[in-house]
Amino acid sequence: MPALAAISGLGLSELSREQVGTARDLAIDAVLAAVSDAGLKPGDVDGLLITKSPSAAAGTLPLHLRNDLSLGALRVLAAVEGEGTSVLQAVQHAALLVRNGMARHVVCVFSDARVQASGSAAGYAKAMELTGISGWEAQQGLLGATGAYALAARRLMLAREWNERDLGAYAIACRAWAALNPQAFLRTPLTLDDYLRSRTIAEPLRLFDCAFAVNGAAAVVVSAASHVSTRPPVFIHGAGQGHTGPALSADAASGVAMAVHGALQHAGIALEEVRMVQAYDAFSFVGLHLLEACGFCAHGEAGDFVRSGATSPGGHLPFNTGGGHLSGFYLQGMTPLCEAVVQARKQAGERQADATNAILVTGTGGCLEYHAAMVLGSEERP
Amino acid sequence: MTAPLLAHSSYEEAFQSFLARGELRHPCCRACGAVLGYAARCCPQGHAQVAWKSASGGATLVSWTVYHQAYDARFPVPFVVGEVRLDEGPSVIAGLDAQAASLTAGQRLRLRTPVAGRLIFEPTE
Repeated sequence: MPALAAISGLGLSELSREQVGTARDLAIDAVLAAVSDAGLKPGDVDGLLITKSPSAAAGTLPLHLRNDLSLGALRVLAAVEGEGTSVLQAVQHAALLVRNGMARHVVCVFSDARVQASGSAAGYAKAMELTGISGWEAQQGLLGATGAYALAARRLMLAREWNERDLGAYAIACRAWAALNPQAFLRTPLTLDDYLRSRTIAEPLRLFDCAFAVNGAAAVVVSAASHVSTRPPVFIHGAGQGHTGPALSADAASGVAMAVHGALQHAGIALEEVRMVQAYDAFSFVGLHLLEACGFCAHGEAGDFVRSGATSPGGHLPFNTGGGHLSGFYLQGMTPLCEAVVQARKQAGERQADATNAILVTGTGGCLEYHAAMVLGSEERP
Repeated sequence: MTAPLLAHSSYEEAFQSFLARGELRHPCCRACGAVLGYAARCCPQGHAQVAWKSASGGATLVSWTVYHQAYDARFPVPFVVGEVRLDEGPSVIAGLDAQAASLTAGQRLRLRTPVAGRLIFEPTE
């Protein structure tokens, strides 16, 4: 099956723990960089899909971004909102649009600027709605994503018999990749003792179980595969989603398998043919869950799988090769997507993996409620 | 501790007004009687009307977290929050009046008398 579409350009703004501009400013930088990287001029762009954190204020990235960028007449302009799946959903929509001739070059952008100079967590305190009664979690004091994910972490740790050392092994493997990535923020090798000594945010989650938040933006240009001229395109082979139930139901967390298996089926490949995974892992256990839920290892064995080195540099399933959200940087769905593009282009330097023809990329939103997945690769066929 | 009521719709208003009277209720289908989770506004059969049934107050502990990072002065740390499954079936986020170290999954809980905007459970022993 020919590829659905291609990613022809990738651009990032400055990424920083400091305040380096509004989300809107940073989005402009990322889009211009991506368009230039694709060998295009802003006037060549005929689609713009905008994504942001669900916790960012309404109006953070308005449709006026089109005007900010002095883009010409667009055939597609929208904000895409799927919480942590927004970026992959935008790229999926863009791929279908260019494949069906409704646009030629669609830019998908994500930007976030919630890290405050004071180091305050205020930008990350918004309560996640789990029960289904609006405003309820904030009233019970379940503030921020970390507390909500802590409940899910304990539930999965009990069900799968994971312990803190399993979560630590995951964080250590991600840090090993980050050490090879000049763009990663946390590059000092992590030991199990370091992990166990890191402060607890919300039990059972420690600081090193959590994403490393940054201010920054990233954008990609999605083009019809035949319209990519300047550099080898990164092919989009398959796409899937899975939204299987409310957060407090037993079904919700199974959505990742539905999304991943959907994307693999769409791409026409088997799980065993996946050569690399770039996962949305805002919390360590989310990566362990993906490995088990999708069948990369058996239930209860993700800790051993990661400790065996399978997902680390040199392992047979390179996983979050830029350090992921924990050690690389947290730009939600753009973190795994950007790393997949860099790997597929063979631009990953010291951390470059050999096989780049079947890269699984995932996105996760809500509290494990929303899932999206794609298969990307450097070859026309996966 | 009481928090202000946040009534976003008639559904939230109904749930919160029962709490304010000291009653915990859960939704079920007015047409077929199916017990619904709090996230549902109609039953899977497509019947749209929700009725509110009294909950017994018995529950089991599914999961819990203890905050060590403070996000709001109203909730000083360490602060315990639980995911609780009512005996009738629906799950709800609630406060726990218990020593964190004594909590175990599957533990039996009972509801303390509800107050406006808050649900607090305690271990039965």
